Amino acid sequence: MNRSLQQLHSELQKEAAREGIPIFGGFELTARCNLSCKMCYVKQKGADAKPCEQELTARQWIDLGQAAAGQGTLTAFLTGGEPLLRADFQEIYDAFCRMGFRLTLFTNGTLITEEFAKWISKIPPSTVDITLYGASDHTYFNLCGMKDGFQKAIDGMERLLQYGVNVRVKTTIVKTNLQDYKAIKSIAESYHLEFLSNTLIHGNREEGIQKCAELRLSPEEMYQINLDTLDEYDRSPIDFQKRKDWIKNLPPMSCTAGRCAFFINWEGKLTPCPLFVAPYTDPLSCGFPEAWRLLREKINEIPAPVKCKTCDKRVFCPVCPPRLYLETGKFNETSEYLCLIAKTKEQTATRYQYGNKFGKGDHDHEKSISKASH
Amino acid sequence: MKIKQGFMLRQIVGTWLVVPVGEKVVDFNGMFTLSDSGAFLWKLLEENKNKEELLAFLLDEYDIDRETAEADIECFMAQLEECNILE
Repeated sequence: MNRSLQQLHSELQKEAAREGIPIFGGFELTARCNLSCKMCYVKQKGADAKPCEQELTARQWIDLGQAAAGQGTLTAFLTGGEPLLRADFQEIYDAFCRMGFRLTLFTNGTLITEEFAKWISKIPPSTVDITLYGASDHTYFNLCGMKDGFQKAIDGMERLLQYGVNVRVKTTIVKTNLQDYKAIKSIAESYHLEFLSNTLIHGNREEGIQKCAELRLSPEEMYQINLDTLDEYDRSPIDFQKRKDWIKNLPPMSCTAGRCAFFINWEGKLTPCPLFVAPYTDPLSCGFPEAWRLLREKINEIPAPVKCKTCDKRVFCPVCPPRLYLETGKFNETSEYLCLIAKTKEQTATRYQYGNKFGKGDHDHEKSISKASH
Repeated sequence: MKIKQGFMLRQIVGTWLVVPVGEKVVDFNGMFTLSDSGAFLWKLLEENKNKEELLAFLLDEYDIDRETAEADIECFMAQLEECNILE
């Protein structure tokens, strides 16, 4: 009984990927949101906070959840849009929290009332992930179109904490909120909460990067803001070489998506991960088990980017088929932006490893932060 | 003795897992694994079987001697009690 949860998850994931069991699942309950973040990958044109007829009913979501649990889903997350906008959210959540999942709720936190916090604290998820988009109302207004969004998110987070609910803080950093990065991280630290940051955006999944390309960070800015985005294994020369050798033989879809992870978008389509529009299958018409089986077949048809296969920087590259599709409109077309990220990450990792050897890594890093902030 | 309400035994990719559900996550936010024989005993405890019945079923299901079976049951029950899972 003493094995760590992380170790157990890792072992189960390996086995699930080998056997094609959908052990991880995401359920996008709505595309609607009360924020209008410029870089959102979900938000549809005209999708505001009003109810939408295309959305699945609570019953349909509950049936999909039960079907997924029956196929072996263990870790599940509920997301949106903003899932709390659904009038029937509590009905859906109440059913999901009794299906035997390790459940996570993704929310922007702005709709968490005292009453909601009290209610969910009695049947809590493993964690609530609150995404903070800035550290001031000013940033929220500029990026998310809500003038008091920051205060509302903090109030929501505090209400959950007051009732003992596990919370993690997430953020997505673009140029508009780059100056807030350190402050957001400090907020998480001041509440002793786990902090997860994302600096990689590819635009709305229907339209790709074109409409928000100017908003995203340059690769230099990405790695200047914090070494958080530099994975542990990139910091170790030995692990790095091992990973370089291992990555050479990977298929195009080398992550968990479509192998042991799935996503059901707000329209009820089953996709390998939230970034995909297609390939997809339709669990509402053929049932979840068949839809999962068909999806696993379909991901094998995704063409591989030939140039990436032999690229010596692939180990530093976040390349994957849906990212390439959002960047270029094709699964197998190389992306200048991703190539630049790989190149910058290699330089950063090399500099970090070299700098650390001589005890200079942190000093250089601090200078970089200062430069990025002003 | 019985398993408290709010725990679900699941078999995921061949591994037996016990996951808390609903209200139970408040005081047990985690999960744990069981061996095949542990899962066997767990299912019997869910049916409110007593120690003598557990022993009888275990001896019937597994090719082990009485002494080993008794020790296994004691050890398993102690672990469950330690985790505050029995009522």
